[in-house]
Amino acid sequence: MKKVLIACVLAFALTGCAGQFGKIQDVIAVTTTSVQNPVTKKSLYQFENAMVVAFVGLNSYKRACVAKAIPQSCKTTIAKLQVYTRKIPGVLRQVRAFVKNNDQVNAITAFNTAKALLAEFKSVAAANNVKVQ
Amino acid sequence: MDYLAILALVQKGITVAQALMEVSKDASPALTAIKNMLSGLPENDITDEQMLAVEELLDAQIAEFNLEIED
Repeated sequence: MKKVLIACVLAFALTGCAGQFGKIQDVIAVTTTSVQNPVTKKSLYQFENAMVVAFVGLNSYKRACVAKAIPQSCKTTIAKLQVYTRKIPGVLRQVRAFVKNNDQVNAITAFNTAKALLAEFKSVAAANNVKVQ
Repeated sequence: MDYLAILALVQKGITVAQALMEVSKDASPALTAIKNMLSGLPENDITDEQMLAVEELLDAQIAEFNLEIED
């Protein structure tokens, strides 16, 4: 349990310190903004990395929940978040395929859907005091 | 380019990385992603290997979170 708590504190510290990572925050801001420009490999790469950082925060929260290190209302919060996170794999598969095939019309649509899902689950997380970057 | 700001960023990153790695291997995906964000931004193209690596990292993180919590 102690290890879980330490991990949670450090996960929070990471998100706090990330406030000073201006460059990272710029990237994250870009990754949650709708685009009409072509979706390049680089922009998809940035987006996927930003998603990894967000999910590491979510998984830290989930592990603390499973370990009963935090109030068990966390299960309800996780279920709320999963409404959005469970839609992500399908959308990601589409974006990746469209970018690889350079199908820009569909890539832009799917990419914006993925960004909207990221923004939505971040919003739910923030409303429930779950720290994700 | 503001090299002092970049140096401060790197120093802070190293401090956080050391602390995280001492207590939890679970932090490594976040650190990898942060490193990717910092190093993958220049104009050079993203290779297929880099792309595949981040895809695998993200898929694993999503799959973990999406699993049901067992009571």
